[in-house]
Amino acid sequence: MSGGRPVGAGRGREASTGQGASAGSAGTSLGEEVYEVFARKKRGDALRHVGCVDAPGSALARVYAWKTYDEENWFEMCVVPRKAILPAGPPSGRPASG
Amino acid sequence: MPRQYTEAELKAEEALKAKIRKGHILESPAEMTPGYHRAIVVQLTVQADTELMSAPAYWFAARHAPSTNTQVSAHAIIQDELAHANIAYRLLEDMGVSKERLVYGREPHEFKHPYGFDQPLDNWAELVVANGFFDRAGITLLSDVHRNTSYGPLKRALVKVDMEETFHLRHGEVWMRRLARAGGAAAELLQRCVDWMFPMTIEWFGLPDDLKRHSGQLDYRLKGLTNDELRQVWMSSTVPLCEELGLSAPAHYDEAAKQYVLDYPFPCQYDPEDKRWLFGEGEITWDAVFERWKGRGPMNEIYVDSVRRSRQSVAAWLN
Repeated sequence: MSGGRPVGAGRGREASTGQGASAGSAGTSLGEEVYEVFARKKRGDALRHVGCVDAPGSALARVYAWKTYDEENWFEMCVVPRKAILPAGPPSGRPASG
Repeated sequence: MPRQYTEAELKAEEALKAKIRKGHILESPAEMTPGYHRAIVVQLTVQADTELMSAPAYWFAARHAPSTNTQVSAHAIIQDELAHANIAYRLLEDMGVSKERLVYGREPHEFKHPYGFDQPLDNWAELVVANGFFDRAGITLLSDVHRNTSYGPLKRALVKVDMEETFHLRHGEVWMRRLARAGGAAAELLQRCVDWMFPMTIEWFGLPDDLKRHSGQLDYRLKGLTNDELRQVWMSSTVPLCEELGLSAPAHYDEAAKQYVLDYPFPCQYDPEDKRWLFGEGEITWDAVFERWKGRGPMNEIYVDSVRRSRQSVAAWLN
């Protein structure tokens, strides 16, 4: 049903980026993949997750992220391919907080 | 039609609802039950389609912007709407729903945006009243979702949306005020906008609570307020705005009932050619309203085509 992510493989682990389908979400006919977007509002602030974009490569992912998440005058923004984000945590695969 | 639930599935749905009542937030589609999944997909599809179809409606109207400054602000609003649509479709994709199919694979009449965004906006006054009325409806609905939703990724995505819709609303109000102050032809045109766009927005909030079929959106805490409550929230800022600007809106505050009351038969029939509500023909059934919505409005195909006309040719070059 939802997303195509193997249930139990770090359940809730991708929570900080907010999404499920780590391996799924293969592309559209324009060959896009998912990039997570992180941004820092000003010096000294935490880099926080602000959303995600679909893009057919890292160059366009950077452009799409900058144009899509333009609600703040960010000091810094970066994009990370979703598939590069690896869940880490207790061996059971259960997040500590449940 | 959804199949019957088994007893175990029903139990799982009830267990999730109980957790959500205690404040539980879901963070991934993998944590959803089928019932939750179905309800949030419906909600997000309406949200995404509405944002997407507002863009061509505003884009066609932006040609009427009276200065380079207003060209910029009108197009900035369109850019925001497209980004909001993009973000909502992206969330849907994580739920296993294909953005490709939703945006490029459906017939124009299958989109789920409100009937209001099937109408032509024919002059600058109509565009700014759309910002003042339609975008206010957007904020009313989405700020309620933002405050209440049990889906974490959506809650975070709506921070941007709320911030920007507030700017659209302010743009609409500032310009409505300028046109109203100018008086004469400008104020008359503004009144003409209110006459068709006020009831259009009222209808947008959907079935009254006493007729509402059970959707699960409240049980799964995908929103906090009912349709009638949301309609009241919208009127509680729109009616005073109209009064302040000397515009006549077909609703008033009833002191005894402590709520806003409509001064016309609701729901009633609409003549899209003439942009006029047929108050004189009296109240109609909601089935008749759904029939009109299903038939879509005059700009439906033109708007849908305008956001996707070159998709196939460019995809063909690339593949």
